[in-house]
Amino acid sequence: MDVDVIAGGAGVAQAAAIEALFAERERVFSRFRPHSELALVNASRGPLVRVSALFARTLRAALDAAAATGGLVDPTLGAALEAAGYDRDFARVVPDASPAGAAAPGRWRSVRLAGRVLARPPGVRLDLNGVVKALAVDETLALLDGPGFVSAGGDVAVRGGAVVGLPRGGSVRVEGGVATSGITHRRWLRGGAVQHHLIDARTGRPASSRWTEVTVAAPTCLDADVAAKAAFLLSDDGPGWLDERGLAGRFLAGDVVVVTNRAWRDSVPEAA
Amino acid sequence: MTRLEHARRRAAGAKRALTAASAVGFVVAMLLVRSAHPGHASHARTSSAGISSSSASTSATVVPEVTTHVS
Repeated sequence: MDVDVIAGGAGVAQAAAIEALFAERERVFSRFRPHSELALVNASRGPLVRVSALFARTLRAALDAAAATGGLVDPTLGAALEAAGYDRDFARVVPDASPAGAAAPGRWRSVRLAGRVLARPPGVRLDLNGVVKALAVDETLALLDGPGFVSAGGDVAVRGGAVVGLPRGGSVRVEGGVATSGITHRRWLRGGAVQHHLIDARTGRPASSRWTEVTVAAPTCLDADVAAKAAFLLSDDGPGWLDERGLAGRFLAGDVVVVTNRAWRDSVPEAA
Repeated sequence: MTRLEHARRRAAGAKRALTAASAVGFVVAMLLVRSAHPGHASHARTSSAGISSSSASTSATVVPEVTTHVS
């Protein structure tokens, strides 16, 4: 989670607390730190693992997200990401002529969490980054005393309203969460084919979608981030899926085509 | 009109002007606080040790205070 964090409306002490929280999440949930709790859980061969309270709470949020999206946003895609070649810090991922590894479809329904005891089949490798960053944004916003915002790598939570800039231009006035998911940044070559980090849990391979980026506004950053990933993965069905849930979505196809769903047009005011 | 009445009218006029000035000042102060507050943004990078304060845009109308993007 090597991201820029911006906190608007934070004092010195709050800024320090925000930085400490993000650093903690990096230590616990990094896929690339060999001694992170996530790495230790994934390396464990036992059928049951006792995890920290933070780990359990985050995994619960990830399983809830999987249930809410019908498994589109799946926390068991660690092996699929590694097979696609995303097995180190993104800055160190380089083109690789060898073919991608075996596909690893999602298996979130096989994961059980009872309190702090985790059970999962052998070979399931968790990746909780689908929720970790957005959760951290929501939690750090709560550290502010008054109006303000927190942004981490483009995931934003706002209290008291703020003008938020959008991909490819334009800006809107937002209260709550805004997040953008897409494939314009984390892309790489493996076996001569373009890979990216948004995995289709059904195939265990990088997803095909009509969209390049999807931005969602929702009550919280976590809601927005999960919905943006799901809407991206749903491709043509993404705008309607968001409307059915009363969530506002803005979709980019290529560099120029912008599509908004009904909820976005009705509820997200442009900044004048 | 007596000198006393002139003095009373001058005092009443000054009081009205003061009240109006206070109201304007209050509104301006509220707007400044509202728009400037999120502008005092602190930036950090999770892999770095330090955190520093910097000034983001303070416009509350056109210039975004923060941007959403793919990371």
